Amino acid sequence: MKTDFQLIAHANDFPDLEQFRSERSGAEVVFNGIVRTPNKGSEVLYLEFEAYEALFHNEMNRIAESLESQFQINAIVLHHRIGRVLPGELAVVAVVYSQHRKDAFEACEALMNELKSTVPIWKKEFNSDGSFWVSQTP
Amino acid sequence: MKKEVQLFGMLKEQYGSPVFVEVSDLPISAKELIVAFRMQFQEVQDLPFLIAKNHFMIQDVDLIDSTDHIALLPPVSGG
Repeated sequence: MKTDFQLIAHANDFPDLEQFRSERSGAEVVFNGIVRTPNKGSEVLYLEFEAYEALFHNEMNRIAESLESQFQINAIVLHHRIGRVLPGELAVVAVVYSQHRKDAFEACEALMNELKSTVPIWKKEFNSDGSFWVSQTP
Repeated sequence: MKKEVQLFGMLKEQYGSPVFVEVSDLPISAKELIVAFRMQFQEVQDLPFLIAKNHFMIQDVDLIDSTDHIALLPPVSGG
């Protein structure tokens, strides 16, 4: 299984997916996470993302092994922005390649669920009313 | 003695990073280190943590020694 996990600083650093496509993969499921506004009634000015890079790679490798044991997967790609991200910009791109669409859809959803559970990335929202750290888990 | 601990997110903003946590002895369990951290930094009593040793997640019962790189992780929020 091919994997590519990266923390990226600029919107134009997101990957060209052509490099991950192959004749073995009949399905490519892409999730694009975009910064939205408003959020909970406030206009979002920007999000600031911070990550623990060494642990990010170790956790992503652990998640990839877990997903590979559950689904038929040919490749997993996850690129996440760090630093300041504006509304309308991509914050994360998650892509799963599989022989068939069912595994690709389910694995991509599982990948995003895992990302939000244990992967060491934090975001602070700056909005029209102030700022706060977003807390999801644990 | 003191154990160096790297912080992230809201913890880093509040206390800086790294911080030095007073511990009675080493090695200690991850759970014991968290208890010591909470005693020293009492504003975070109710905040749940994950803990990493040498860049891998560990559990409460895992042991931490003087040479281990330790990080306390507040609730993550990627995506």
